[in-house]
Amino acid sequence: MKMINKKTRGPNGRTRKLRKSPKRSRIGKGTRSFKRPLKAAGIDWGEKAFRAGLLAASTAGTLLEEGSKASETDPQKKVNECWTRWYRSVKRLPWPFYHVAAAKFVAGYRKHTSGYTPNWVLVPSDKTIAAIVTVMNEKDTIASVIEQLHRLPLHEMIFIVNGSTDESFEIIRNQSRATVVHYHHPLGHDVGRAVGAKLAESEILMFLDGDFPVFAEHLVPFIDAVEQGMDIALNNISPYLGLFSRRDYVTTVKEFVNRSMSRPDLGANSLTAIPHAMKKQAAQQIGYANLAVPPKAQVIAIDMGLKVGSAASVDVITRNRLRTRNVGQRNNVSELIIGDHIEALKTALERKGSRLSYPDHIRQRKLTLH
Amino acid sequence: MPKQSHMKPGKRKRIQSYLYTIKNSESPKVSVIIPVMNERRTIAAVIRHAYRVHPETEVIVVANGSTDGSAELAQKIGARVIRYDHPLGHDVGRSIGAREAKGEILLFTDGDIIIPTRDLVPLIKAVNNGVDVALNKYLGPTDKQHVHSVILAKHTLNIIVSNPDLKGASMTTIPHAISRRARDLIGSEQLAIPPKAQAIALYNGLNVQGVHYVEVGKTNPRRGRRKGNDPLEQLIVGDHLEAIDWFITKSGERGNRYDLSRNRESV
Repeated sequence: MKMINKKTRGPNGRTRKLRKSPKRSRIGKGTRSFKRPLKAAGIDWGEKAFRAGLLAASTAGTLLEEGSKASETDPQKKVNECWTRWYRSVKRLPWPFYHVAAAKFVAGYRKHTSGYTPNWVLVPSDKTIAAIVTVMNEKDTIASVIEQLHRLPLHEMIFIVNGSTDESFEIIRNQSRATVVHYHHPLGHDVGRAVGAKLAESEILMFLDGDFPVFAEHLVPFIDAVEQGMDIALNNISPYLGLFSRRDYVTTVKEFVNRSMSRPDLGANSLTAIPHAMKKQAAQQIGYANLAVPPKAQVIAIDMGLKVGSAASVDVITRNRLRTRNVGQRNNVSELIIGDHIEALKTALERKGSRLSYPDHIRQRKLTLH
Repeated sequence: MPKQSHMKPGKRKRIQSYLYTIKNSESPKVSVIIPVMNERRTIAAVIRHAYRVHPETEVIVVANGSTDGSAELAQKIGARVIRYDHPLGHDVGRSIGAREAKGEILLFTDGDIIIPTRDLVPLIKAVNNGVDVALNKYLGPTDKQHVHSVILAKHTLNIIVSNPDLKGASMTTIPHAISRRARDLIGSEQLAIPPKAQAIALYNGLNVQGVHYVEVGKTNPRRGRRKGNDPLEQLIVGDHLEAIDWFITKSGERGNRYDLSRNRESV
């Protein structure tokens, strides 16, 4: 009979400890790690943030007397103001840590003031923020988009409802106190964004789509990137693209435009994809009308020397809603976006010459003529 | 110290006397254009394989900036040699060769890659059967996340000129064959910038097809190309931009694509 021992002889005669259990499954690890107390360098940031929240709430009264910003009336903005001040005093945290800490901060704050704080998400910025959402017959998804946006301390919410024949408009009206711009006729692809950018008065503009709810937590990095000095913070879609040989035409063209503008680091990231954030000032410099053709705006921004970068990754590729007009390799939307990129390339070629930054010093072209 | 040959010096002469010679056809059906710089090691084999693609063939060697005697060797073999003392620059030799070609079909290949006749014949056959531009189907390594800029540019150009089915097949890649009609329509001077020539061909509705797969990546020597600093990469990407620029001037700023009725005035 074989003995099952805790210890067994190794090949060289020494005793070797057997592994107690098979390799632990990794399933479910991701979500669980959020619930565990998060510790970085021995500090429990959740606990620390909770206490900071308590403290902030107790001193908030005195701050009011000092006369802080115009956000006194809105408790959400007030918490965020306290949070930003506290967060600046500590080192920057990785995003999972950040969100746990922010949630704890809100909890600590609530414990003192006993107000209602429905899962608010705090942003590390005291700049004014606007969310711009384009809507066209999005009644199924718009409610959850609004719900997520309400979790953020936004100063403006602008919905561009165009050509809608369903009750999208009513849903927005009932559920939020947002600015709604309504057009009876469809404005066309991405034109709504340009309209919204022009109307918004905040310092940071965040662009979203009515058919695609994004968790508020996932939007924070975009705002943070702009806060840190980026002019345009793009969605980094590189992790979702897969092998080059299996990509669609649009992705290929996007990547080519970035490389031609000497920005290979951007991969296929583009203003075409939501979500992305931008400084209001940058939008103004690019020209609002150009925002209606996102690749063109991107090329202009890069050419003007604005800071364009990728902030975070939100999967908009595999989760995108399939519609009759965007299925298949050569659909209308795909052709439209390729057209946009041609327009963008044209803009670049006009600005920088027919070979951009790839001059041809090698060829003796005269000899080819008769 | 150079590697010593195993053969005695006296025996070398005998090899020379075995030199494979060709006789260019008087009224050729196929013209093979081979730009050559310093490719003494491979040129004889390249000419030999190229000559056998068709009974009526002429081989045109465009020697430019050659200092190692490849031009003389080609001459000795019997090819028609067009000689320039200075390097002409990438692909310019093709353009000059095409200008001088007399054949109905023009086959382009390179002096540094030996391609067997069996891989050249399908291209000739395709052109004979009505294809105007018969391309190599070789795409380069595309089964990865981050591809080379040249591969990206080739794919993009085909997409932009509305022929995405070609994938990355390109006139930049050798070997490829074109009909005389295609040469006249494109213009031999444009063949010096192959992507532009391709854009012209596709825009004018010529029949451009990837015909046959010839692996040319592994055998292509990477001369003076270091990681991160590849002058050829810059050149070829620039070529594609030039091609796109030409296409835009011909087809309008959106490349014949509508924009699903955008109301741009609304902003």
